[in-house]
Amino acid sequence: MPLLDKFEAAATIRAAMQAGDHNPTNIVFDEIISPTEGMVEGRRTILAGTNNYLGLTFDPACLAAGTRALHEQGSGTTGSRMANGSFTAHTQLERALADFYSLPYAMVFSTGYAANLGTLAALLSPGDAVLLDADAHASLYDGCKMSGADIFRFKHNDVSSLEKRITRLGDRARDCLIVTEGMYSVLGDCAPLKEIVDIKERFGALLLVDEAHSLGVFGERGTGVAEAQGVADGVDFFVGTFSKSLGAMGGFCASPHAELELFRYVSRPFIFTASSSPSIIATTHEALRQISAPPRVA
Amino acid sequence: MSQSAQSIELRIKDLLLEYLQPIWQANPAARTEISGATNLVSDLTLDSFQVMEFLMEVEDEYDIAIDMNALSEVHTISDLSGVVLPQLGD
Repeated sequence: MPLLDKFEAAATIRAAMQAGDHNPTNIVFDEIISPTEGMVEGRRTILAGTNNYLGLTFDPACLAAGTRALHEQGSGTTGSRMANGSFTAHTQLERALADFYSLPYAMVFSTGYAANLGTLAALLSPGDAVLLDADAHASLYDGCKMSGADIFRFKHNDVSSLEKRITRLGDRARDCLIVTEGMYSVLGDCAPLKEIVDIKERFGALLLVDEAHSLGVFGERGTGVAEAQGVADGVDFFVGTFSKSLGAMGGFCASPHAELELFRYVSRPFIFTASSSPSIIATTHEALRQISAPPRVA
Repeated sequence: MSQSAQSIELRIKDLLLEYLQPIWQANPAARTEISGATNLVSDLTLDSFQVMEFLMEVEDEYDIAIDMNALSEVHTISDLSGVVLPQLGD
């Protein structure tokens, strides 16, 4: 089949969506009024579809931090941290993230997608086994796929399905990785992490939890669903994004395992990507500082 | 007891018919004959989510774990039985 012919199916789907009153994939905000409102097709509209959970995109302190960094450090880093060097701000944010999770190690990526891709592709290799929730985000699946590991899906949030599949792995269960989200982007439900941690510990596996949608929202300290369920100590790798509750862009991995520091040498999505711009790092760090601070009493 | 490729293919067809019942009830026009050569996507118009869901039914039926990477070569019921058979051992 000629290379470009495969786009006919996508063209058909696009045409069907354009035939309706509103194409949901083609929304343009003419103006952003606030974290929760914008002008769409000439109408003042509530932006219910954003992930701006804490409304920090217009926070005065975040804007000030970003503006200051833009003027003091420039508009971009123009290269990879491994090839071109890190700005102090990147390492400071990593320290702050590690502290936020009460863990010794954290690593910052340029997007949330790259965080999942880069963590999983570094952690897993061909011949390894990974157990992935059926409704896990595409970036988690893509990271597993990129690693070359054997991928086994279990039914969404179904502990017995996970247990059956990890049992079927036999001796391989001891070295496998379980991958879940904290709160699922697809359905908005939370993983039964208490039960999943129990399975992980019984079989001697490792556990990665994507707290992208739960960061800043779940848990007393805001680290996510694992904290809210009292099993944060059972998680080997937390991954997440800065583009939702923190109102910026980027991603991270935090871990109790010292090997995370070595991911920098083997994670292609980390090595071969330009690092985040100083203004993005600054707004992210300020937003993290705000959610890390004790709640203010009015 | 070892199972033949033919018996596995027959059982997968039965499982598939069970899986398709509610889909066909909702959309009778989708009903079609099923054979080993039936393509899960183009003949049955299952989407990728449904294919994965059905695959988990097959895994549970045989108490096996099927690597998702193996599925890029699975298009028909015969292809699927070919993935299941080597996992059943003697």
